[in-house]
Amino acid sequence: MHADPNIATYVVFGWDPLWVSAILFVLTYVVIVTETINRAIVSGLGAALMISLGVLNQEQAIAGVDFNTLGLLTGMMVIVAITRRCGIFQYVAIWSAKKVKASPWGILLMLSIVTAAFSALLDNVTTVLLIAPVTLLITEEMEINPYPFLFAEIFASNIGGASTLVGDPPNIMIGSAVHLSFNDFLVNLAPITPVIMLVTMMVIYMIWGKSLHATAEARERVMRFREREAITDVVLLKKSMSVLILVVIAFVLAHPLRLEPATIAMFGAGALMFLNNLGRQADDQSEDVHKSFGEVEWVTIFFFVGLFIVVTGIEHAGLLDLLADWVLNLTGGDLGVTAIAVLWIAAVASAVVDNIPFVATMIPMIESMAPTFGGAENLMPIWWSLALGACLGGNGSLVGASANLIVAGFAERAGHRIRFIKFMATAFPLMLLSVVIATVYIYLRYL
Amino acid sequence: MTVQSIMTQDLRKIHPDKTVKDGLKMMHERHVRTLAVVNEDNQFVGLFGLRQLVDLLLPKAAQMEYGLTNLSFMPDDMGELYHRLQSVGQKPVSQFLESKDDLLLCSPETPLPEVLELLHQSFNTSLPVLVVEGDKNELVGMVSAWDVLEKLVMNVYSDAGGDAR
Repeated sequence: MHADPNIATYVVFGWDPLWVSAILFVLTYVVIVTETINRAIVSGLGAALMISLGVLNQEQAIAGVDFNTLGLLTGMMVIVAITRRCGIFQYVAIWSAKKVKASPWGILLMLSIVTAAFSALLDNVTTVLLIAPVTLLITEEMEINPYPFLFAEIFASNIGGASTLVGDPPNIMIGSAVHLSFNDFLVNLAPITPVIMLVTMMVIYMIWGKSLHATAEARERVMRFREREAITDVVLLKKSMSVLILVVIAFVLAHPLRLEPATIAMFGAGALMFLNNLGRQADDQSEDVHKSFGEVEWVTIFFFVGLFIVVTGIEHAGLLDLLADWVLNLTGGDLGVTAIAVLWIAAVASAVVDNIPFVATMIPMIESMAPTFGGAENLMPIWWSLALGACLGGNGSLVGASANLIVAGFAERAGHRIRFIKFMATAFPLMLLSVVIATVYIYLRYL
Repeated sequence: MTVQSIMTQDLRKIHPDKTVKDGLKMMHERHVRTLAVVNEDNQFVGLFGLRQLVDLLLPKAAQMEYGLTNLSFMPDDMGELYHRLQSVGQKPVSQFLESKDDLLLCSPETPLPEVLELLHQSFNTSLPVLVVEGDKNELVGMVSAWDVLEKLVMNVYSDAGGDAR
């Protein structure tokens, strides 16, 4: 991501590139936070201005785009878009609800575990898009308030997402920038996320557990669901599950296979589209491929592209080095203090602003701290702090993560509006509790 | 020609406080698809009809954007439907109606081409255009494509009769 020093920067009117890039960066950030203009438009315009005003040239801008992150996101989105059509996610949700004999607390627990598990392997938005409607159906059938269920699922999606390389965009970005493998995330983050999940569920039980009641008749209605009927396409189920399992195995073996995550995800997406279109007419193939690519969240992808360029602009102009020096001054250049500070700042910031631009900015800033701590290899505690802080912080408010807003949207459409303040009153302290656990973990394991 | 000359004035009305059960019974007895929901001042509040019946029978999770598209795993006996209807049967129709804000309204003086344009807009919903009068939106009639057809057919037949003579 570092620019070629041989290419001089000529900012228009001879302005100082540091100031121009800083103003563009702050403006982009402010407009993203206010949500008055779509974030993809804002980051795109910010990027275009970074180039047009001369902070970067086009080559430098393109070199700053992390295509590994984009490829991994796009590939996984295509795989999920195809897989979801077979009904496997509804099947698992209903099956898990029946396994606990449709007891309300049992269902809440099972759906949370299912959400956490899916979020660890798929993106959180997709997971809640699939789980929230089933949850609303089950709670409607059982005539109970869906709020505790949806609350628990929001937490489960963000905690589950923190566990793996592919679980949450911040992890994808950190993994890609620092060349961390799927296994690195498994070994370093997956041990603590179940603990955080367990404590979170205990608190949720203390708040709502005893008030969840359903009549025997209502439970019987859920027990009469025939989960097998939720599977709409057995052939597609077999194809997509095979590809998904192979993709996960490839993630685990990425290092010996010498493959980057984006290659694996895009290979998986291509293979699944190939299998799904085998033997079809050309017209049907085009329709299917069009549909699969159409379900990719291009707004998010283009948001990333713009953001990478904007951050490359301030990096190139030297602003991130200045910020890093400032942070190091505050923390006294102590690794432990810096790591814990990054964890808490990331958590609180991610609760109130989108964690994607935050992490995109933090990555090059932390990279530039390497000399202070004796090389890039010593930065690991800070990277794990950033990942845990950014992912867990998403639970702090309704706007903390895209998945939270998706759940809130479903709740509103079902006539159970989730109030911003009411949610935050419970969610923010619970998020802080999870960060306390993460702090203890980081301290004991790495410092 | 204005909408006044083709609209249906003989409307089936129901008070917003009447129950869903009352509304469904009235529709069944009088063989109508839609009831006009009007308050004691004859002020138009909304419509209650077969669309609402279908929505009441379907879980909310299946009606929303990005909701469930496959419900084949749910029990498919009538008992399930009765249960759903029973739980909402005693609630007032005002909770479920198609609000007047979501409907197309016109005044009795609205010219026919404009009415046709409104009917064109309402094609996806198949709901009638409501004819209201005054500041209080007093309901005076309803118009659907059917009313237009009736008027046309009547004219065509009277013309044909004239030719035969």
